[in-house]
Amino acid sequence: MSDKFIIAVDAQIAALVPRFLANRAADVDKIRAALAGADFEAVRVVAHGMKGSGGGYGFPEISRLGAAMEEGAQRRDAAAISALATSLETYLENIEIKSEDGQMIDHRSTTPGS
Amino acid sequence: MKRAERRGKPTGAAVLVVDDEADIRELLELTLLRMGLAVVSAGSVAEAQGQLQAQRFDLCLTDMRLPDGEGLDLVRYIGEHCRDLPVAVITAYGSTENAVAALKAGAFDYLSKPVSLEELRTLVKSALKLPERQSEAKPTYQQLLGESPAMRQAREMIQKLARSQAPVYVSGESGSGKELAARLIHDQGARHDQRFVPVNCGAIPENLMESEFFGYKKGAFTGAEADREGFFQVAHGGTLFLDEVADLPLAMQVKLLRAIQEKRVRKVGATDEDAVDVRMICATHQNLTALVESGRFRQDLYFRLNVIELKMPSLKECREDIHALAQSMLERMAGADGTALRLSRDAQEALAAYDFPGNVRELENILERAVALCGGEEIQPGDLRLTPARQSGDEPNGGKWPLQDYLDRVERDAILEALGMTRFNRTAAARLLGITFRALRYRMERLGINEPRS
Repeated sequence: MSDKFIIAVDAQIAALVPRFLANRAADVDKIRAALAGADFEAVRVVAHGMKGSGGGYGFPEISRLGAAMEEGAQRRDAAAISALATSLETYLENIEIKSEDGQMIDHRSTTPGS
Repeated sequence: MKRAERRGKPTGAAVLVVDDEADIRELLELTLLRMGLAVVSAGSVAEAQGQLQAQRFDLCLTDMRLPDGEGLDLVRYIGEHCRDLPVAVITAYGSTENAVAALKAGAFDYLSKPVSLEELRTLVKSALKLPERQSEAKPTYQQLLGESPAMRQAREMIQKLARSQAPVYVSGESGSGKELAARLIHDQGARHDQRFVPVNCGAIPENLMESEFFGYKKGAFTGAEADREGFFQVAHGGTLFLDEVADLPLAMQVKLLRAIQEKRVRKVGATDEDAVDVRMICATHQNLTALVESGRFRQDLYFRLNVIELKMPSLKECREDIHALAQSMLERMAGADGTALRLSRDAQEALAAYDFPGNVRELENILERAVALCGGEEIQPGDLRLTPARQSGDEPNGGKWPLQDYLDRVERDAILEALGMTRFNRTAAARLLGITFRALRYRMERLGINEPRS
């Protein structure tokens, strides 16, 4: 997929966005690890957090994927969760962030943390 | 968060943010810091309580689900220990029950997840704009006069409600001042510099309701020659007061419910929706609970509107105020030369014995008529033209009708007795009554019972 999603984020909180996205990339790894151990509760917790925070940062798509993964965890549907994790990964790889004032923001070199 | 990011000039207002998820906490923190506020964070109920004991805050924002308890626990803790601190909760998307429970427990407003930063900023601004608590001893506004316990309770409840954003249902007999109460809630609250829009739901023809409430686009129907705003758009940022809400037809009730839930309205003929931020206050002299039971009023709308009930007392319940009220009205009606008529002793007695089925409004009408009829400087009983009162014992059914009023009286007596025996220790009183502390608090609020000031 070569199409980039360009997302405009609230200028006031733009500084937080790179780490927020790095944390979501780390979530993909966490979810895959949890799936490998069939730990659906761990998947649910990570997905629930994603659902609650994505929209606030300006990424409703992350909230949508989080909600779908949370439902998947409740159904113990490993295949669905795995597919959603891949969608999230693709999404994260293909977004370009710009601040509302038009400045592009580099979010690729940030490492996760809190 | 890095120190370097903490820009913005603190205004002195401090906000306590309680959330256990780091990503959300940071988002809230930075947004508030950029608004020039000082922010302190906590990740649990216990940590938040520690912070509340350590310093003074101007606003608290808490998540509903915390590792060691519920956001509601914190709302209640604040209600008990920091009564002046407005608290707002963040609820999961679509969780109406939680939002309503939080408002009932004393929260000032709520935000649903995912949190919209725009909504957050609006909420914070309105919370910090709340006027300082009025000095409690004397009423600074003259419109709701009277020193009877029932009237004082109503006034205190209004002051409390003014500090919240919760929907309010004002009940009370015709003429008991329901609209005035709604106006006072608006005037003393954070929205006081925005519009107060009163609407008499019984006076709008059914086929015009939708366009009156939600507005219309040019060309939406014959005669729609220009865009027009509805009540919701006009009241944006302010308060919408729906009087005689029981008169809304069921079809309109559905649309109103949707508008309140979604905080969005669509003009007739429009494709887009407008976001609206409106505080709802409604009133009716009818028994809304009975209408819900008989299916004439939607239960879901009832729950949405009746988060907190304010009961306006009838004039009969404030008999001792009649004389002072009459005097103040007569002064207002004074002639061009500024001299007000007086009530003769007999006229005073006649008023004191009268039932006032039409309440304060009837008293006002009676006095206006008397001023017109009176030939001298003193109003005589004959000038009042009172309809003869019912003979001996003005309650032929023993006061059992209407049932709700009767039950409220029984409940009030029992609660007051228990509170009296326990010197207003509510925990002990609740135990005596065999109900939970929370249930007692809710009932006291509903009936307008307040702790006496020593």
